[in-house]
Amino acid sequence: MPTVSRLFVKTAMIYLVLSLLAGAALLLEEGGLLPPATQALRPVFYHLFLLGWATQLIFGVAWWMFPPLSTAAKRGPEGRMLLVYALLNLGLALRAVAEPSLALGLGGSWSVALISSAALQVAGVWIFAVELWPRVRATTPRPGA
Amino acid sequence: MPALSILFIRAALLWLIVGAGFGGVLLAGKAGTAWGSLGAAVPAHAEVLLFGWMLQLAFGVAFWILPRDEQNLRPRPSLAWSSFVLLNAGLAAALSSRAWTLLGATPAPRWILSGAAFAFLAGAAAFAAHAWPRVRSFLK
Repeated sequence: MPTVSRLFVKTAMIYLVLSLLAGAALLLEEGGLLPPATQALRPVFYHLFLLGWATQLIFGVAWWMFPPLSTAAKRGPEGRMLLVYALLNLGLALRAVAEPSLALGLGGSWSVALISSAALQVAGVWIFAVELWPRVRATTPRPGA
Repeated sequence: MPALSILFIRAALLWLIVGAGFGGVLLAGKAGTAWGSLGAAVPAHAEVLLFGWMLQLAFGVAFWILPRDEQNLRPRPSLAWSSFVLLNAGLAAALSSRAWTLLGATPAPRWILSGAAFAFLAGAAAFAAHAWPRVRSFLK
């Protein structure tokens, strides 16, 4: 498994635990054990689970398993996948703090942080889609071909 | 990778680009930008990413890698092709309905969203019917 895929998959597992922590907090709130403000975590729970865990796991495994570009080029430039990893995770981490902060009315610079997090996440996802596109192909080059 | 998997996965990547862009706009809207009024479009964001991206990616990869039959063929491929058509037609219908309601003065006719729901259901059932006999041991 390439280094960048290991990074994606291990980070996905961390997000799985974090998302379920957020989910547990939401359930505790419904049970009256945490204050109603805990509901500010709901969109963060969805996105930590679906983007941080599921999508990031897909990114890591797809980069590892999809047909190589060619015998010489193999999977393509790993640096761009590291950029995807940085953009996605910086954006998601920023969102996890900024979105509840804004929902709780803290305002101010959190608005800028939230817009930045949106741009970072979108850029990461779009670059990944462009990078994977040529590897969604019919033939797998044989060794020496 | 077979042609249908290429179609499924490339369509999934296109829906990922659309859904992520849409999500970015919605998130920026929460910061009080001019796009804030688009909050009513959250269901469309979820449909694009759950059905367009995740489900189609899973179907594309499953069609590619699940064990084949004794003749080394993927049995009943027409069911999987139907699934591709139904899922994407359902998404187009659902998005049209959401856009109509969001941008127009009147809500979209209910039959459009009902049709989308039927297409999602039929698409998922068609793929399950295709894949069911392929979920078996490689050794058979």
